[in-house]
Amino acid sequence: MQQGIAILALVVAGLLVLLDAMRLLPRRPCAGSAPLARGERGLYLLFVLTLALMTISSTVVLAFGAHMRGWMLLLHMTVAPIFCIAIAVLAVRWVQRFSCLVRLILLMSFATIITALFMMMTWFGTDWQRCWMTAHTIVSGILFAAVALQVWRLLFAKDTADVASAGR
Amino acid sequence: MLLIVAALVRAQETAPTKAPPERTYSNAPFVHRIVLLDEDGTPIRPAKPGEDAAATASNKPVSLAKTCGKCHSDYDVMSHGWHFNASEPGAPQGRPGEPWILTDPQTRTQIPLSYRGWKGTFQPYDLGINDFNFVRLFGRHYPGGGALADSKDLRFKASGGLEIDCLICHTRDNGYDAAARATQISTDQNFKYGPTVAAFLGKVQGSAAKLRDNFDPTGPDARRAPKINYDASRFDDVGQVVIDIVRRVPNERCYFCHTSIDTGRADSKDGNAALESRWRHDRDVHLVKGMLCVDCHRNGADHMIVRGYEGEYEDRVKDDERSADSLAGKAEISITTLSCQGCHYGTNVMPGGRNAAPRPLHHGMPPLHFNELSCTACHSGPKPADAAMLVQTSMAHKLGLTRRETVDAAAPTILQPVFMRDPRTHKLTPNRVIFPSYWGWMDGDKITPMLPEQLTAAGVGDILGAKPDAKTFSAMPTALTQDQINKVLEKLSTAPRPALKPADVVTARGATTNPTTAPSTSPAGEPVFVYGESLYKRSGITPLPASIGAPYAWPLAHDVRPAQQALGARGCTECHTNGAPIFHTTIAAAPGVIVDLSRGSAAMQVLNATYRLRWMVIIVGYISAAIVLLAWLKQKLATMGTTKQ
Repeated sequence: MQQGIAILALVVAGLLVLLDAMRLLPRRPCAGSAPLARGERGLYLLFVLTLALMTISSTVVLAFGAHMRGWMLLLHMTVAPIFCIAIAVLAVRWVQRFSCLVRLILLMSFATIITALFMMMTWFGTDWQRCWMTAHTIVSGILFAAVALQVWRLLFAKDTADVASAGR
Repeated sequence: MLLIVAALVRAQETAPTKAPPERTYSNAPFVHRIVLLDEDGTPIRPAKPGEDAAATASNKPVSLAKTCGKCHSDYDVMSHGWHFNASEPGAPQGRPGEPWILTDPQTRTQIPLSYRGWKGTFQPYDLGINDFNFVRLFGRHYPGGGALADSKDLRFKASGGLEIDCLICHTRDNGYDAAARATQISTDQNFKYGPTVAAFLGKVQGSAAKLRDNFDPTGPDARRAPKINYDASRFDDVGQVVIDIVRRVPNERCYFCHTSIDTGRADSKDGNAALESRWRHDRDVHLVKGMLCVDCHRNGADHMIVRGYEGEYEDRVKDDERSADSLAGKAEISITTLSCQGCHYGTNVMPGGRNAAPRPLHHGMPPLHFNELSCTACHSGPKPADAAMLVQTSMAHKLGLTRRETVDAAAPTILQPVFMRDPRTHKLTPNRVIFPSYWGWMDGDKITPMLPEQLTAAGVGDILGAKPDAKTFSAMPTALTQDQINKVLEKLSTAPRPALKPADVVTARGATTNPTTAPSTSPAGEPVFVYGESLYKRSGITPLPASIGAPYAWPLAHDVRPAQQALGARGCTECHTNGAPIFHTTIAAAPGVIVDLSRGSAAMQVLNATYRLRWMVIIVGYISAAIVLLAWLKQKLATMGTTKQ
C-alpha cells in the first residue's frame, strides 16, 4: 500500500503541473500575493530543498518498492527538523497570504509533522502506529504535490496573473 | 512374455487393497490396548509363570512399524515426516536447523553434519560416516526412519535398523525411558531393541556391539544375537498390552531432544555453575501459559511438523512443485498462522489470534522495526550481552543422558544469540552459531574433514594431549600452539592412511546428496587444520577461504520471553546506542579465538550516535507544528471573515 500511495503522489504531482501548464487548473488572484522578499526566497528555497530531500528519501524509495532504511532513513530524519523550522517561519510570514494552495500547504505540513511525531511517541500501539504511517505517507504525498504545483507556478508561470496566483 | 504380463496385471487387480487407517476422530484419547508384533508381523506373547511358551510365540523385539502400522495403515505417509526424512533423497531442506555435531575435544574437532545439505554442514557420507556409524553416534536422539532404518550397511545385520520409534514422542506418562533407548543404541548397538527396552516391555541380554562384522542373523551365529526377556506382567490374558499413547505429544517428550540451556560466558571459569543455576530460568512464555509445543508445531498424518518460520508455506509450495510425489506433503495455507507474526497478527488472508494469542501493542515502536527485525530478535533466547553466550543442547551435548562430570563450556562450543540477517526475510534474526573445527585433507578449494579415529590411527595423540574420559563432558581444551599444529600436520603427511574396514564403508545409493562412490582410503591433497576462522597449513596460516565458509548458524526461536522482558522494553537505547549488543557482539568461537562481530551498518552507527538528540527533534517538531497550525487557523479565520463581508 505504501508503494501505491508513493507512486500516486508522484503521479498526481506531475499531473497537477501538467494540467497547470495546460491552463486547465483555476488560478484565482488572492489577497496578499506580493512577490517573495529577499530573505523569504532563501527560506522558501530551504523549505523546497528539504522537502525534496525528504521526498527522495521516502516517497521515491517507497515507489521503488523498497523500505526506508539506512542512509535514506538517516537523511529523512536529519532533514526533518530543518523542514519543520523552515515551514514554521514561512507560516509566520505567510499569515497574510490568503491562497488556497498556501492554506493547503500549511495544513498538510502540519499533518505531516504531527503524524511523524506521533510515530515517535509511546502513546500508540502497533495498529495506531501503522495508521499514522499510512496517514503520514498520504498527507506528505499531498504536500509534495501541492508544493510541486507551487514551485512550478513560481518558476515557470511568467504572466502577472500567474505570479499573483502562484499561491505564495 | 504376454502370459507373464497378463498374470502381473491380474495380480495387481486382485491384490488386496490396504485398509484405510483406523481413526476415532474424537478429542478423547484412544486407549491403546494392543497386540505387539515383531518385525515379521508375528504377535508377541510371552508365557505367563507356569505356562508353556507357545511354539509360535516370537522372541524378537517389538517392531513399531508393524505394531503401529497394523491400524495406522498410513504409516508409509507418516514415515516421510520432518523427523524421519532427512536421509531420503530429495527430502525438503527447509530453513537451516540444528545440525548433528561430531565432537572430539582431544583433536579439537567439532563438525556440523546434516543429511539435508544445509549450507555450511557436511554430509556424513563425505566424512566417511556411514548410516550405521551415524546411528551409533547420534541415534540416541534420533527417532529413526529413512536410511537409518533401511540401510544395507554391514553392521545393521547385527544391530537391526533404527525403525521409526513412535513411542519416543507419543507416550504420555513416564512409561518410556528414552535414556535406556540411548544406551541400547550408543553403547550396545542394539538398535532394533531400543523401543522394547525403553517402553519397559522387556529386558535385553547381550550386545550387538560384541558381534563380528560378518555376523549373519540366519546363520549358526544367530544364537549369539541379543535376546529379549519380555515382562509377562505387561501382557493381559489375550496378549494385549496397554501403552499410554496420545496424539498431542506432551512437552516433556519434545524436550528430550529439544532442550537447550544457557551456560553463560565462554570465558567463565565457574565449572558448571550456570548449569546448576537453571532453576533460575523461566520457561517459554507459551508453555507458562499452558500451551503445548504441538499447539504451534502441529502436523497432519504426514508428520510434516510445522516449524513456524516466516516463509515456511512458500517453501512447502516450492517442494510440492519440485516433486510430484513430494515428501513435503500438500502445502496447507493455515500454517502461515502458526508463525509468531501469523498467530499474533494474522495474515492477509487469515485472522490471527489462534489459541487466544493476544495482539501485541508495541507501544511507541515505529512500524519500520517490523521490516527490519524478526519477532525473535527481541523476544527469543537470552537477552544479548556484549559477548555471545554458550548454550548446550540435547542433540549436541546429549542432555537427557546421565552424567556426573560436566562443565558449562562442554564441547561442542555453540554460542547464542548471534544476530544475523536472515537470507530469506532480510530481517535481523538471533542465531545459534558453531565455528567448525577439524583436521582435513585440502584438495583445491575443497577440504574433506578427517574423523578423530583417523587422527588417532596416525599416532598424533601424544601431540594433541590426553584424551578425556568418554564419560565426562569436558570443554574444548586450550588452543593448540603453532608448533603442535605443525607437528601434527607433518605427521599426517607422512603417516600411512588407515585402511577402511568393510563395516565402515559408505554404501553408495545413487541419491543426489550421496557421494557416488565410497570415499577413498587415501584422500588426495595436503593435511590442514581448520580452527576458528583460520586455515592452518604446513606453509603457514591463512584466513579461511569464503568457499569453505564459517561459521554455521541456525535461527533460534525459543525460549520466548514475555513483553516486559523483550529487548527494547526498557527503552529505545537498549538497541539505539553504539556498542549495543544487538549490533555488536564478541564471540569466543573457540579457545583462543575471539571474533568481533559487528552487524550495525555505518548509517545505523550514525543514527545510534545521534539518538540522544532525538528529544530535540521532537520538541522542534511540536513547536513547528503548533506555529503552522496557528498560522493556518489565522488564515482560515481571516478568510471566513472575508467571506462574511
